Amino acid sequence: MGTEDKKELKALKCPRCGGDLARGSRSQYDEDEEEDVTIPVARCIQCNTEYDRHTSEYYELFADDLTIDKDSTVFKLGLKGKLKDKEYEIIGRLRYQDEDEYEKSTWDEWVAVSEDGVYHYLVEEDGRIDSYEEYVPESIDMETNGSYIEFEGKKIPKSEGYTGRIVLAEGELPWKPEIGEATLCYDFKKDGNHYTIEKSDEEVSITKGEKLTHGEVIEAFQIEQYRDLYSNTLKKRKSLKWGSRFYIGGMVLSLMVSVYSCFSETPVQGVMNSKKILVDNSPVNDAEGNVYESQILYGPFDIPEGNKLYNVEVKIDQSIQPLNLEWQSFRFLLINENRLNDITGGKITDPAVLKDVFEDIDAMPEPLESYLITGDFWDEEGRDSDGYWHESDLSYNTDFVLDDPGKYYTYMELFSNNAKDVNSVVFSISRAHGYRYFIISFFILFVLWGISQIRSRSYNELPFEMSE
Amino acid sequence: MLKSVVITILLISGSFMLTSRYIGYAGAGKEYFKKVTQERKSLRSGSGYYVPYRGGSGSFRSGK
Repeated sequence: MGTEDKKELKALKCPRCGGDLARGSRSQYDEDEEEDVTIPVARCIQCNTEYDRHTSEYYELFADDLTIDKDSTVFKLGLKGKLKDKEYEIIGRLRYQDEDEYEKSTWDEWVAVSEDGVYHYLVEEDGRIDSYEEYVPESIDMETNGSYIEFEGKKIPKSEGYTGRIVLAEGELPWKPEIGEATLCYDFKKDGNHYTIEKSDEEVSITKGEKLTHGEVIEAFQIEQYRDLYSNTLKKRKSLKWGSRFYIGGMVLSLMVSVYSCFSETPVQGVMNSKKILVDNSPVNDAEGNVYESQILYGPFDIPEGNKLYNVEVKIDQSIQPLNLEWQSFRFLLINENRLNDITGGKITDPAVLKDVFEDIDAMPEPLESYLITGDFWDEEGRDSDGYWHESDLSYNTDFVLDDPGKYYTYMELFSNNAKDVNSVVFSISRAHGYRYFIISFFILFVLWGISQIRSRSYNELPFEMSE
Repeated sequence: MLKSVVITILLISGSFMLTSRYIGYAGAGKEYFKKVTQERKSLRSGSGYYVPYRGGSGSFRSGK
């Protein structure tokens, strides 16, 4: 058994009683989650003392879990390269775990030394690399104020500090780090530069950094094995990004066509200008009980274009007579003047003939109407588990394609549980432009855009994470 | 990228085609006559179809 192994075994003993430490868990209230959560702890099997993530013992025991992906990196010890015209060699590495996190949340600090003995730190976290070098600030005051650090005139709140715990140390580092050793860190930006203040028991270290791309690192350290993979990854990500731009273009076009179509309806003029009331609130007995029936014939009006899309909207005009806790239903029949003329023998203005015709309208072998729409309006109130509700549906609209242009009539039948003013139900007919397929395309393109956005960030041929 | 271009063009041109031909929209006039005439032929007089329409309260609250 080597010296290192002995050290490891010694580290896994309970400092209180010397008993073995084992992995365990405990339940505790989590303020962020607002519920009880089970957290991992190191527990002495002899005296049952628990060591949580604020202790070195915890990290000694869980270090393997926190370093499981330690080989998934662009760097390795002994790598030599040129950064900013200076030769460097990577001599060591530290991996830190964020003490606030139960799950793995680590970053690596690779220590490089130049031929003239200057240290450089390459920080690798979540696929991003930052290059840091020692920095001596013009002024810094960490002690005077309890709530912030003054750094060259900038105030850095102490509440933004976080603690990193060493979970891996390898290579020839300029000092002897211990597993579980804590370092208080402050990351901040000033004048466009990134700074880090690291404060441990023994010293304060200040570094100034800038972002490096993986491409710059691969070039600087001449890492041949990743050159092609990096280039392929970038190409594919760029292609996916361009793809997502096309999807955005398609979305914008779909949306523009939809908005234009939605607001470019042309009303058919004079649809309600002329009317004949054939039946006005006649009481009828049916399955609903006593209902009132009205029949009105509107028209004629001119529909000038054939083979076009039209929209009909039928609604209650509340200003004429509101619908209040009652229902009203309608039957809307669009009738070509020629067909009405044929069926009435030219007596289109005779109310008695019209009444007879409409009495038998459903019994004709062929329909008189060119199109039929039915619908209901209602206004209701009540109580449910959420309390009082009052809801209504006072309009109905639908689209249809009319093949023949010409003069048309609208025959309207109204049914209601109360006698209603026949003028309270109004309708309009408009020449419309369809847009439903553009809306469908918009949503399909939106999903495809989302997928290609995710893929353009996550596509990776390299054996390590790369965020740029 | 080519795939995205093709998909976008197909979707937009498909939307234009379906919209300009009014595919999926109800037809009034000849199409309606044909459909309703067929329906009426398949029903005997006195069967349900000839019962005159009477609406009723159609709110979703009442479940009718």
